[in-house]
Amino acid sequence: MSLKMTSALVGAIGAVTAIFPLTPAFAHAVCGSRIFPATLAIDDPGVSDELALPTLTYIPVNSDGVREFDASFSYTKTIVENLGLSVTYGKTWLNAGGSGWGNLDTELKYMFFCDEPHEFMASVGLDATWANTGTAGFSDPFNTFTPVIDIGKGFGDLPTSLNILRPFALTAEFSLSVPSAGHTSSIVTDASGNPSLSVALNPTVFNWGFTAQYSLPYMNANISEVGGPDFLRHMVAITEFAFQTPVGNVPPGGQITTGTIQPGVIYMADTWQIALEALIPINAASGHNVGAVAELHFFLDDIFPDSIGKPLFGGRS
Amino acid sequence: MLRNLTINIVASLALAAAATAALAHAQLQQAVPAVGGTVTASPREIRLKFSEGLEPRFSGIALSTQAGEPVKIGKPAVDPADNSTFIAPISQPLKPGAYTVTWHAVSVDTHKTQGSFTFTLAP
Repeated sequence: MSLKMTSALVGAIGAVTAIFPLTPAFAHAVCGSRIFPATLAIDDPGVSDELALPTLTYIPVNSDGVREFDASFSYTKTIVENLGLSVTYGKTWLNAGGSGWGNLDTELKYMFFCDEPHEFMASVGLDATWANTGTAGFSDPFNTFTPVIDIGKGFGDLPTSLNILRPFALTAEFSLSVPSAGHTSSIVTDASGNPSLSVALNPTVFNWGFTAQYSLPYMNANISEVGGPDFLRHMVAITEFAFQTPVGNVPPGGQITTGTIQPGVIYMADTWQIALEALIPINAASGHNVGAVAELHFFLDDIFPDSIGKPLFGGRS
Repeated sequence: MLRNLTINIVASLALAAAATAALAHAQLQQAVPAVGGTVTASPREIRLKFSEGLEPRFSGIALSTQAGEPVKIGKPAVDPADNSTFIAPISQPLKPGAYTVTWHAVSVDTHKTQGSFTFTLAP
């Protein structure tokens, strides 16, 4: 879901200058002994009742002189166990450039596989960004539909001779963002007041990325006790890699992969977590300065297990 | 107004999270024998301290040798004074070697977790 805004931005009418997407929040996931935390750029493969509020993104002044600040929320509700619907909405402030809401984003997601002994799980989803649900100039006048697959693999099944590697885990996400309109037309006026027709192609974008995680809670529970202050036993070191590659209907010169590398840390408490990551652009087309993203995330299935935190139908097995 | 609404929601959830801190996935916080540790005397029990209270009817502890042979232990039960501590007695002295403790836990709000760890009994 994090990557779906990218196609909109790549093919956008140019009003929003930043290339960073609004960063929605994602669910945490449990498979066997592994708890995958909620991550910021790459969705984890789990489905559960959760609320990320807020997710805050700061992108310093870019080459075009614009500073960007984003704030968003994401709410996920399970319909039946392992099937959930999430809603994400957010606002962008540009300095200079004003402010406005992005389009409403929804995702229906199903976790279809969990191999507990091998801490391996996978899910599929369909993400949709809905046209004209945001502010003109900050959102696209077309829908974007994005089929998504998410996978996660913990390495707790490695032999004990490799104990140092067992807290390690990878998650990955692959999706294809397909706009409902091949191009967007608009009337632009030059400095002399002469109108002309501008046509921008809306490319299809392949979104891909992964996270590398090292979980001290996992180490403490399964490998060796983590000494020192208690907060260490709640920390997960993480680096996320999120990329977007236009693959279809690409304007001349537009076929370049953009993305960010996001090193950071996550503190996992029992019913909430907080994450902080840097946003490092991978090339000039992705940005020019290092930004930051932070998120407070509530596990509603833990806070309200008997009411809004359980599936609408069927309960939990 | 939106900012105030956001602050109110976050504050309410924070209070709810704090008030329901005993309702979550039960994660192993500490064990005796220690996770990955070495002991010099045969332990008389396995004691697991979790982050949440457990439902003992749906939770369990198993012990096995390094070769995977099961080792008979007593029926685990929660500490009467602390339902987040799960204890399994070991009635027979263990031989020196490496052992694996495998546990599964259902917290009082029915969330499931599981895990395993090894400890070594030194000769």
